[in-house]
Amino acid sequence: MNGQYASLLIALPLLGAFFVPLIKGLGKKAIKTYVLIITAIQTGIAAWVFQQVYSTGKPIIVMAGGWRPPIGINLYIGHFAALFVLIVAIASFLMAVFNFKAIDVEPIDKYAMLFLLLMLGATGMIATGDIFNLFVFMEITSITAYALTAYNKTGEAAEASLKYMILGGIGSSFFLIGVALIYGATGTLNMAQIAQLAGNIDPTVAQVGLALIVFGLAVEAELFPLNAWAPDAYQAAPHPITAMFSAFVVKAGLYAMARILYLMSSVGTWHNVLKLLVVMATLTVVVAEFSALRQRNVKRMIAYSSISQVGLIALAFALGTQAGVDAGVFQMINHAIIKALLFLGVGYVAVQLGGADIENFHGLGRKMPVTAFGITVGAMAAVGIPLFNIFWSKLRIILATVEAGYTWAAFLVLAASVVEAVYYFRLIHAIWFEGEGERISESIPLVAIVVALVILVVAIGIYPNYLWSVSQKAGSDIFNVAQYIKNVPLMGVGA
Amino acid sequence: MNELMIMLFAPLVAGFIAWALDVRGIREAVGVLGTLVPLGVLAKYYSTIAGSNPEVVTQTITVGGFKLIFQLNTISWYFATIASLIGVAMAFGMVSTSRSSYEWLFALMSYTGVLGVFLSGDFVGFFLFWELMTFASFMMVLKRSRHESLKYFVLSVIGAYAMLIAIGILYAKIGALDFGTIRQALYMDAMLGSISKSLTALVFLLFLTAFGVKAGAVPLHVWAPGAYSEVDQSYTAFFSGALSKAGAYGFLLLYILMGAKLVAALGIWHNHMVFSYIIAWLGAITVVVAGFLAVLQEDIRKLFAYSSVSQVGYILLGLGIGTPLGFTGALFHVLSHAVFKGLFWLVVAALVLRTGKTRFEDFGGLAEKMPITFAMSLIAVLSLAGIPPMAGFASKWLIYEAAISAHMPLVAGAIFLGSALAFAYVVRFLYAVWFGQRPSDLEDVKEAPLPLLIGMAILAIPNIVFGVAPGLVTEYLGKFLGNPVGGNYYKLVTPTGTYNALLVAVLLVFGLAIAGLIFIYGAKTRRIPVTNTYQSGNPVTEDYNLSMRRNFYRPLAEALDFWLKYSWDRFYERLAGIAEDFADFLREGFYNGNVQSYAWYLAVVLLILALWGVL
Amino acid sequence: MFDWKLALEAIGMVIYATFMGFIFMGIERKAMARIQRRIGPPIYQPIIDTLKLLGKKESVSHGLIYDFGPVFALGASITALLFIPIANFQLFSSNADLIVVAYLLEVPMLGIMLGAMSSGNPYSALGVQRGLLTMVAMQLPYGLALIALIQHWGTFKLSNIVALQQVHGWSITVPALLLAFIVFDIVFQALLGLEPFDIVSAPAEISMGPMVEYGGKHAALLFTQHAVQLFAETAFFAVLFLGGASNLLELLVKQIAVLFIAIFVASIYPRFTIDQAAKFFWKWPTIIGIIAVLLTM
Repeated sequence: MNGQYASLLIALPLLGAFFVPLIKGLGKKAIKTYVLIITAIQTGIAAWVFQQVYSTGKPIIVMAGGWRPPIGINLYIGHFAALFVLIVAIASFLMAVFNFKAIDVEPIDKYAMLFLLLMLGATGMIATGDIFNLFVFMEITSITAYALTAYNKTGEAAEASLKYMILGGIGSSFFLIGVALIYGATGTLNMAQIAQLAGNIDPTVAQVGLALIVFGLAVEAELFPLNAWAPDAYQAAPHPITAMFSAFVVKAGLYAMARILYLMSSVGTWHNVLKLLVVMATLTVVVAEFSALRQRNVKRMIAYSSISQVGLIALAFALGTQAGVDAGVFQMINHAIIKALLFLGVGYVAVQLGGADIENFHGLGRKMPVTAFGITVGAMAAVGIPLFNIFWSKLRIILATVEAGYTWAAFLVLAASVVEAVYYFRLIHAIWFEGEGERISESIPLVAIVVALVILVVAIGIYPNYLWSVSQKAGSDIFNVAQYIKNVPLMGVGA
Repeated sequence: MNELMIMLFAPLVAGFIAWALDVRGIREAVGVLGTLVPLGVLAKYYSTIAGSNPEVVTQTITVGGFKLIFQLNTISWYFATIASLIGVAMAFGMVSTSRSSYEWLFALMSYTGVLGVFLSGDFVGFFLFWELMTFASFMMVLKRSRHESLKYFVLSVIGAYAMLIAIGILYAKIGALDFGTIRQALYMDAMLGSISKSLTALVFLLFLTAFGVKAGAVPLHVWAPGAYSEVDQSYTAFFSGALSKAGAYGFLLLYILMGAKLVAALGIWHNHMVFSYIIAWLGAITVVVAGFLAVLQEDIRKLFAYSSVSQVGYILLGLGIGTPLGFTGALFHVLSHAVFKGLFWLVVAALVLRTGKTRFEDFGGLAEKMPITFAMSLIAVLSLAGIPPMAGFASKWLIYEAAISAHMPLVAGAIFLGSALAFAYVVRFLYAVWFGQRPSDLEDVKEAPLPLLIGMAILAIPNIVFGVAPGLVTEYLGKFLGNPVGGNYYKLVTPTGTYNALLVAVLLVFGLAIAGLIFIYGAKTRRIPVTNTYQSGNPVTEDYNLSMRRNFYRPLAEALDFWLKYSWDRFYERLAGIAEDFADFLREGFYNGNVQSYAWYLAVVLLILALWGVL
Repeated sequence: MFDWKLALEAIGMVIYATFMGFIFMGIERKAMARIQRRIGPPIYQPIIDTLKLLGKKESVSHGLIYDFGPVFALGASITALLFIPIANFQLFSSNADLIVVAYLLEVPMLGIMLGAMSSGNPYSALGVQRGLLTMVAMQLPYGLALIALIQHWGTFKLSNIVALQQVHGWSITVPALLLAFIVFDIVFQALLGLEPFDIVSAPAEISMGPMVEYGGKHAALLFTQHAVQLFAETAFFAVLFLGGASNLLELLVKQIAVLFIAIFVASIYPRFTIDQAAKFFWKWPTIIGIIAVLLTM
């Protein structure tokens, strides 16, 4: 099959979203089923693309309208994008299942549209090979995210959405200025070409441009201190959306940051930016973990935890070494699985028991044993217990951090991890050893998802070899810029 | 060569099966079977390891890009066998005391963890199993007490992460994670000195924290009393008997891997290697402080918990002496502490099972009700108090010899004090639990169930065998320590001293025979009840219990009142409180919900960017 | 192969030690009485007492451990005795060293305590408690004194220590070991259970403490044990610090000298309370002990 079919990854959700109003009249269930089908097809395509990329070992370059880059906009589905597009699709699919339980507020059709657009935005951000196109997809993602945050129509949700919008808006404007600076300096928007020309830019311009881009993306990627919107938004958003935020929306931002960062690695002042990022990432981890410690709302607690894990990934990317990037990608995958599991479980509990306050979790082991088991496994994995997946990625990140000479960062991150262990184990204790409760019947599809994710977590924990090799390939896709440039068929410009 | 893997994972798999099936009877059978497998495999390899032509059994697997090496060599065989012995005893004990599949799962998981720690030939596997062991034992505690378990976990994780950073530093400097390469590289570096002194000191400090926590060295011991108390007591036999030995093993590893480098970096002071001297003093302080605390406990579990801490202090002290003789003593003490303290905990398990009580004031006069358990506890008492010819004495004697001949007199003085303290607290245990008037609610207490007694017997026998024939152990240890102790199976000979265990045993029998003859040919005896005693004319009634069980060592507490004002426990609690308040402060200060301040954060970051761009 | 000569020596030594131990007990009572301007019992009085106790028709018992305690105590005392080189009789001393003997000398206490505790008498329990606390208190200076000795002579073997003293002069002629000697002598009061450390039995307070319940043959066993122990400990002292002896008479003189020091100290000082004793032991004797130990390093 022709690689150009990969463009369906963008086209399908986009068209799917546009057709939602047509089936509006068929009722809630039909719309949810429709979303489910679209995400299922998307998953199928993504799986095919993944298989293609990993079996041939070559990226799929999709050229819009047949224009060759740098004139035309191209999609670059390399090892990383293929992997992450698949994760986006799977996570969306799982959350589409969860929608049946979790979403009851009207207008469902709007929700469905936004849901698909969110998926589209993230997919686009990951797949695009053009920096302005990246900005566009980022805007799609964030604007749907603002809207979805407010979807529950409560006061809190509106407030959270507004905060998100203000901060996100400021962030993206600065991102745009950064892009403009780079464009002004290089005269191109194609990422491969930017990378090619990066070495020749005036270092000050490059540094300022890069700093502004990083600053703008840091809002999306939830880096301290630009992540203040995140806990509110995570808490207020509908449960499936929260899971998606954590599983891939933030990752898309992180990816974008990492990608641009490494594209510009030939800039002389590059290491200054890295140092700044290391500081920010470390602080993200520390502040978020401490903030989670006495959190009474479990969903918010896990939101803080998610932020801190993201900080860890950012730290790995900011190290500027191959080992760091590989570890970061590995952590990204693991974190997506864990947080999907946790937010799904916690969201389901909140739906069933009316709220995610810690009191509702007392005796959960008796009320909803499978969900409780899922949350427990997720929590243990997040702490970094061996036999669960995060153990490996965390170990990799710490080793890479110390290897890169940032021993102090490793100290701080690990200190924060101790705090993380405390609040997660408090939660586990509340679930299993406190309170009483009657058994509540659990929905079969959700139970199946939880069990599948748990098996995945343990399977990776016991046999990380395959995923690690995948992460290594995806990591070198980001790190090895020369290869990236070579892969994109630039129309005879430059080299 | 897959037997290593079988041995390593048999307990874990058995634990999962026991947990998943959760059928009474099968659960126990699978569990016991799972613990027997490693012991069987180890027994099979004995001839390979300890034969005239010893080989190292190695197995390598690749996980997640790391090459994990497992090897069974002389040292790891020794440690793993001790752990397996305790593991089997624990499993028998748990058949009687545990009704929860949850406990079986995590008990066996920690068993796998401990074996993995001993078998690992590289730092990734070491760290992985270290964490697994910590986690599994933590889950055992979590079931009973949230507070104690978190205290345990936080300290352990701080230790584990300290180790991780140390591993990271070594990895960054050497580029390898397997023990062989690291050892060689550090040995070379001891001469080259490319790793700076301060960095070496940092790595040492980090490892010291990591292993110190697990071994329960003062001041990192505070988790032990709570954690040892708040689990199934059969499991504590393993917890204190085998798990804490991982810390001791870690210290040994420190010598093997970094010894030369540490000497080169930290130097020598008055003929003592500085790093080693630090460990010795750490051990000495642990022995004394924990000994005093053990004497003053009012809860049977706390008493033995502090006692465990104190006894592991001996091991550290022995290692810290740093001579082959010291290592022999320390490693022997690993064995003897494992068997006598494991035995103690099984006795405690039996007591808790049969009476449901844990405080000394509720016990009394049980020797008649549980005679076999009493006999077992007597063996343990004799061994712990270091009465010749028990295993506990042989190992302690070696440590004495080593400490004094290495010219560490003050450290040796700490052993003297610690031994007296040990004597004091075990006798207190004997008195309060087994003798005196029996409280009326203990009238229908029965003897411990059979599986528990089997478990006790498994541990009691080595106490006597290795006591009378300590040469069995020293000869094995001599294989890799260069035979510092001569003699034969029954007689230990060091360059300066000698101890013939068999002769002591024979003469003791001789002495007892003489005394026994006098006794037998004396007048006949008439049995009278406990309440019929001399009371200056006051009649003793059933309803007024005259036995002294509470505050037995009050005068000591009074003599020590100045020191008892300070407590590491409270210090850590306060620290934890500060951390929690700091967490609140951070959250409320930063995520304050005010979008204006959020916007200010952006401005500040921009300002920083701008300033930094200009500069 | 059985060494008949050694066995005979051992049995002879046990008999001799028991007899001399009783005489020491008699000397102790007599001397104490003379100091207090009483006439005192004849020197052989303890033997008569013991024989009388053995001759009792019936003795009461609180159970197996109650019986086992005194038997074990006496047995352990005999064991300890046989490992000490007594004058020209080396006995089994080449097979055990200072640490082993020091431990063996403490084992009888465990026997006494076992029996005492199983009697259920609260006075006994108090006695046990005091005995253990005294031990905790004195062990540190005691240990330091022994360490100083070992460090100076460079060997753990009692027979070697004696031999070295024969060549280089007695231990107390060495300044550092003189300090150790002072410490050891203070501790010795506690080892023998004499004032100011007779806290364990404290006749006027807790009616002989551990011994309170014992009568008949049990008490006789304990008296015998005390005699053997007294002999063994004085011999131990003489061996460690006074150069041992080449014949029994010389040893006897040294033993009695040691005994008299103990008696004089005991008759001068009143009894400490247990916490006072602990604080005392951990102050001066410990400091002197540390000095001695550092001097011999």
